[in-house]
Amino acid sequence: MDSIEYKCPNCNADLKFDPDTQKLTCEFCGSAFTVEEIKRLCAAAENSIPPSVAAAQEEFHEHTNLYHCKSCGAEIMADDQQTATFCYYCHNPVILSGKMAGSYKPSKIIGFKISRDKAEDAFKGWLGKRFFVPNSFKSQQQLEKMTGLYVPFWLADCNMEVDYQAEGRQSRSWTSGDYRYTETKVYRLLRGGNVVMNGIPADGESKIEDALMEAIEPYDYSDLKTFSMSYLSGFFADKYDVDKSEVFPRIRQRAQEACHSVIADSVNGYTVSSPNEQIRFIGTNWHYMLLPVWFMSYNYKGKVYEFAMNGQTGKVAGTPPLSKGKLALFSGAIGLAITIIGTLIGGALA
Amino acid sequence: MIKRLASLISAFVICFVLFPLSCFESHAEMLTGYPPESTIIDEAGIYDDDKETFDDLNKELKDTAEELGLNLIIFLAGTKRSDEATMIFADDSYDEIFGEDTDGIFYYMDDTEAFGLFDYISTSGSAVLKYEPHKESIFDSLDFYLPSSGEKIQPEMISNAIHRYLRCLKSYSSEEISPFAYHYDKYKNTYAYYTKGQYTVSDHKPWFVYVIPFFKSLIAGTITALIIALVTKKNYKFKGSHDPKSYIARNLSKFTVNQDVYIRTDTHRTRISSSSSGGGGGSHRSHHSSGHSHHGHHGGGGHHR
Repeated sequence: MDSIEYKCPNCNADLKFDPDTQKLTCEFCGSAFTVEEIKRLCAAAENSIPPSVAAAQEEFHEHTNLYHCKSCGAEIMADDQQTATFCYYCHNPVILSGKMAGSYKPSKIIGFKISRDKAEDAFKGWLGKRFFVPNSFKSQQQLEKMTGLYVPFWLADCNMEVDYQAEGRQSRSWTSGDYRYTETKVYRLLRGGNVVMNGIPADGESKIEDALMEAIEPYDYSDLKTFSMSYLSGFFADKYDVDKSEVFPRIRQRAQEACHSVIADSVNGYTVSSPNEQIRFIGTNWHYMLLPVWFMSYNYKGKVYEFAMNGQTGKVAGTPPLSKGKLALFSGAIGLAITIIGTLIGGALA
Repeated sequence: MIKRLASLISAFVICFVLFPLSCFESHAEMLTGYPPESTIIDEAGIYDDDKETFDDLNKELKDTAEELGLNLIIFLAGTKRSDEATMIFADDSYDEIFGEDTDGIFYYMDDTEAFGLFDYISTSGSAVLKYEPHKESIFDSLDFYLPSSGEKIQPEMISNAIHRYLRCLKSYSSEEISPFAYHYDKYKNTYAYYTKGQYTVSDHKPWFVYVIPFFKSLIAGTITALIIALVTKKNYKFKGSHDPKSYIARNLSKFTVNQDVYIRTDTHRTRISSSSSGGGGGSHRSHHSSGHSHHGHHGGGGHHR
C-alpha cells in the first residue's frame, strides 16, 4: 500500500495527522491544515512550474559546474566559462566534481554593485585602528583571498496572526502639603491583527556564520532580478546545504522578534505586566535566491575568522583576529611604564 | 660729576656681586675644647653649689653611655638662643666633640628661665635611626619633670629630668631598628640607613625606599594592563545587529483590535519625612620637628615648653 507524505507549506517539514483536531499539523512550526487545504496547496505547487521556468532550470544545470573542496566539504558553483581554483572558505584547492544536479537553481538574484577595489578599500577601512590583528591578516596575500561570492539565501514571506493581552499602568506623582501622592491608572491592553513580513532572509550555507550574514543585512530587494547565468560571470556561487526546513526556526525567531517589537511600540507609555502574547503563523512563502557577498575567511591558530561585505550596499561585518602576542606586548609595556613611573615618583615622595 | 657717581655705583654693584657670600656667614657657635667623652655640661650653673649631685648625675650618664655604646652629652643651657641657633649649636657641638657621624646624642636642655623654652635632641650615627622615632615620647615624658616657661628652675627638677632621660634612652635602646628605617637630613640632603648591618650616610636614597612604591605601582600597572587587554579583547568580538522590524510590510500589517480598556485608578499617599544630620568637628594640630647639621648627618627634634 502506498503512503502519501505531505510537506508543510511553511517550513517543508513532514505533516502528521492529528486525530483530535482532524487536521494535518506540523510539529516543527505549529501550522495546521485541513486535508482539503493541503491537497489544494500541494496541487497548486505541483502545477506552478511553467515551461519557461523549467527550461531555465535545465540551462542552469547544463552550464553550471560544481567544485568540491575535499578539505572542508564546501561546494562551489561557477559557470562553465571560469574555473574555481581554491575554496573561498578554507583556501584549499577545489576540484571539479561535475555538473549541477537537483533543485539548486535560484529563482532570483541581486547582482554585485560593489567592485573588488571598493571592497578591498572597505576592508582596509574596517581594519582601521585595529592594531592588534596579525600582520598576515593585513597582507596583500590575504587581501587577494577576498572572494566575490553569491551566497544562497532562503527568503520567507510570513503572515502571522497576533493576539496580545496585558495589563498596562500609567503613573503620575505630585506633592501636596506633607504628602506625596501617586496615582496609577490601570488599563487592559488588547492588540490583535495581522503582521506580514516580506523577505526575511536566512542563508542556506552552513559554513558561514548566520550572525555574520544577518549583520550585513538588509538587501534592497528592489534590485532583485530573475536569475541568469550571466550574473555568475567573474564570481562564484555557493550551493546551499541548509534546507528551508532547517532555516525555519531562525525565520520564526526573527518574525516573532518583529512581532514583539511591533506590539511593544504599540503599548509604549505603559508599564506592562502579565502579558499574554500569541503569535500564529498562517502562511509562509519561500524564495530561494543568490545574494552578493564579498567574503574573506582567515584561519588563525586553529580558529576561522570571517569578514563579509554586502555586495550590494557595502555594509561590512566580521570578527577581527586578535594577536595575543601583540596585545600582551602592548599592555605589558603600558603596565611596565606605569610600574617604573609609579616607583620613581613614589620613591621620590617617600 | 654724574659720570663719577655712575662709576662709583657700578663699582659698588660689582664688588657686591663678586664679594664671596661666605664672608657674610657668621661663625657658628659651638662648644670647643671638650674631650671626646660623655658628660653633662652645666652652662646654666645649676649645680654650682651641689657638686656631689652633679658628679652622681655625671657618673650615671657615663655609665649609661658605656652601657648603650653611645656618646652622650647633656647640655644645661644658661644662654638663651633662638630655635635655629639651638639646633645648629647642638649639631655642631656634637660633631666638634665626637666627630661626624659617630654614634651619640646631644641633649640641649634650655635652663634659662626665659619664656619660650626650647629643648633639642640632636642624634648622630646609629642613634639617628634608633631614637628619631621616639623623640616626641622622650620630650613628653620629660615635660612632667622640667619647669615650664618662666618657672623658677629647681636643681632637683633637672636631676629628675636627667634620670628620666637616661631611663628613656635605655628603654628605647632595646627596640629593634627596622631594616627599612632611614632618616633624611634635609639640611645636608643626606640619607642615613643600614646597609648589610653597616650604618651608612649617603646622598642617595636607600633602595628599600622604592620597594613599597614598586609593589603598589606593580599592582596598578598589572590592573591597567589587564583592563587594556580585556577592553581590547571585547572590541575584537563580533558585533552584529539587525532591526527585527525591517522586513515588516507596513501596508499589509494592521491591528484589527487595538484597545486600551480603562479598569481602575489607584491612588496612594505617603507622608514626606524630613531628616537632617550635621557634620562633626575636627581638630588641627601642628608639629615642629627638624634636623640640621653643618657637618655630619644628624637627626633631631625640638620641643617647646
